[in-house]
Amino acid sequence: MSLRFDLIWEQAPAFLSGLWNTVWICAIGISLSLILGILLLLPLFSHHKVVRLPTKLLVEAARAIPFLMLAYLVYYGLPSLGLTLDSWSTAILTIVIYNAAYVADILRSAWVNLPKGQTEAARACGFTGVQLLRRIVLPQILIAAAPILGNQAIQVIRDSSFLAIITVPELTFTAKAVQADSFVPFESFITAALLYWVLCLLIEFGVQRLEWVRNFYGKA
Amino acid sequence: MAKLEQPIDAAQPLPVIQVVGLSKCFGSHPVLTDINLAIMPSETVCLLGPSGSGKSTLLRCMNWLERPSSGEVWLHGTQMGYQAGRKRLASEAELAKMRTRIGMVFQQFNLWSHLTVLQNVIEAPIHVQKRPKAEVVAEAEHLLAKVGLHNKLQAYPSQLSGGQKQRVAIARALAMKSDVILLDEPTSSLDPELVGEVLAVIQDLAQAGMTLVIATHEMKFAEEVASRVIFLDQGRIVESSDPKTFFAQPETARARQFLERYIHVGAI
Amino acid sequence: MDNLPYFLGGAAITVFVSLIAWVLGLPLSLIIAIARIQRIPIVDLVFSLYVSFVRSLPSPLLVMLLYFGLPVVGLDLNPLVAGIIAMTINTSAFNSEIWRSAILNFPSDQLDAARSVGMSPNQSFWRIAFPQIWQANISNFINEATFLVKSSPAVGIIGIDDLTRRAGKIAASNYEPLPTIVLGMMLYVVVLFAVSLASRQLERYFHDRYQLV
Repeated sequence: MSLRFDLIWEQAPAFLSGLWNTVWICAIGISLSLILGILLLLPLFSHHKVVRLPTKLLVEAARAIPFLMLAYLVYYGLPSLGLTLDSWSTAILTIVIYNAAYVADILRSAWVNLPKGQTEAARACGFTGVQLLRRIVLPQILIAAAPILGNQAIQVIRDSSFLAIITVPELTFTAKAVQADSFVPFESFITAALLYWVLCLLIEFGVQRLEWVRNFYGKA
Repeated sequence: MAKLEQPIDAAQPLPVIQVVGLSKCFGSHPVLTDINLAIMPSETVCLLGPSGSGKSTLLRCMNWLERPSSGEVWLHGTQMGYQAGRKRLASEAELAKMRTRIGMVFQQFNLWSHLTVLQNVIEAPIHVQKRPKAEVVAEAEHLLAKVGLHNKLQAYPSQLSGGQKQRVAIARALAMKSDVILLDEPTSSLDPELVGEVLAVIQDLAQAGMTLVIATHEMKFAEEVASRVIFLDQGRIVESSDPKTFFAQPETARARQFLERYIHVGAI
Repeated sequence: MDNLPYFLGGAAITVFVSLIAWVLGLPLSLIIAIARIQRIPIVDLVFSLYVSFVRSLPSPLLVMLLYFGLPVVGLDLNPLVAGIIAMTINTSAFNSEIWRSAILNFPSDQLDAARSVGMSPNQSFWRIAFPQIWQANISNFINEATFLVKSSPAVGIIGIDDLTRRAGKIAASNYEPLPTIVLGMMLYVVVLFAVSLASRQLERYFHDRYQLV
């Protein structure tokens, strides 16, 4: 038995392009889902039950299904509604919907744990609705939840690997293609695994760097 | 530094616990300095002194929950923390065996939250001392009745008051049939109205001839129950005398200050 | 709705794989946590790298690594075994962090009491710390089980016919993929809601009884 990492080296451009696709798909997906997740806070904290409860149910349900199931819904289901997306759009849309539910839930519990005095003081100053959220609540809960959001970003990267199944040419798909091509399954998959590891360590490192911001604000 | 012979006075009976030249530092901060004392059988020794004077640490060093920085602790002729007759440190298992001969009652009770009252009491006799279960259970029920908790056998610690918890903790220490019981401020975290019930139990033990070492802030109790009072200040034994002398005419200025403050506080 | 029995079969496979991995992962993760807390020289380093590596390793990739990659180094696994091992490895890394922080944060006064009655370190861990940690963290462990269920579709890649794979197969061949997939999703929702309901009940039961730390 001999490992042929030289064959992997020959495929370096393929791995790099797979890695790049994973990075940008996840980056765009995470950014958009952050925005959507924040917007979901409005109905989640609405005073009207008819708005609040269905949103809450949807968020809970989205968090109870596997990523791949949602990808199938977008990939197989939407065309039957007359909406056919290319694989890139499918990938990003799936990440945005799926991750927005998690982001909304993370921020919701950060908001619930925010000292009551903060919002009361803001209301006393006349802040309401979107303004209250944007100027007072959001900056604090984003800082408080930063480490959890960082972990969630790592979760998105791991989940994005499922996109290989619906043939999005990201890192896992590349590893699969290379192993089929050169028949070096072990070397190919372990290379991809190491690349995922590096990617996630970078995120962890970034989150740790954010700690000083949290410390500055006294860990809101 | 470990000697092989307990330094004893031939004229005296063998002490239950003898502490020789014991010091303890946390980092560079000395908590206990050169402590020498002997606890004789059936004595009730009260450790008095301001908070931070080292009372708790001294008790914890006696059963090696804290390892002394220097000095020796002898338990009926065997040296705590060392292999029998040798200068080598005892293993955790050997140390554990020695600790079964010293009971301990903590300020915060430290009952095991996942076990019932009865289970708390029988846990160590069965699983550490390997005594037969039926015998241990019968004894435990008897002990719990003695501390007034015969109707709480199946309760969990969370369902008890502080005073009840502490009485269970005392029963737990008694069930080990150890040679001596160390009580670390047993009433300090109790509501005032619950202090009495616990002190009454301790007083019964003292009268029954159990050897007790009690760190306490209850001056009146110490005066009534103690056969000897040891006053600690800044990690040193400042006075050691019988309670009548100590409370009536303390020898040192520091003890006098301490007592005045306590009587003063007590008056409020 | 004709597909319901077929889907229920898939759900059973999903639950089976996740459950076995959960049960196997608990003791494995405890061993990892203890080895790291004891700071056993090389073992500690190996396990901390293992945890970091697995925590960033996507499940589909892990499944393929075991199933397609290991035969190259002489280990031929059948798909079900490979799938279960992959899920077990996955959950062991996450669970070990739960064990580790629970053990490190276990109140020392409970252990003081255990030492004072002469329990050895082993006895005080298994008789005093472990039961309390297990009961106090049951909901965290069950929460990890829900993550397992959600990453279990990874085993479909090597041909294990779990719920997601069955849903995907029917959706790909069906004229009405949307209701098919929605039905599959609802089954996941039912399974996971049942799990988290059980978790909350258990937690409340233990909490009321002992008021654990």
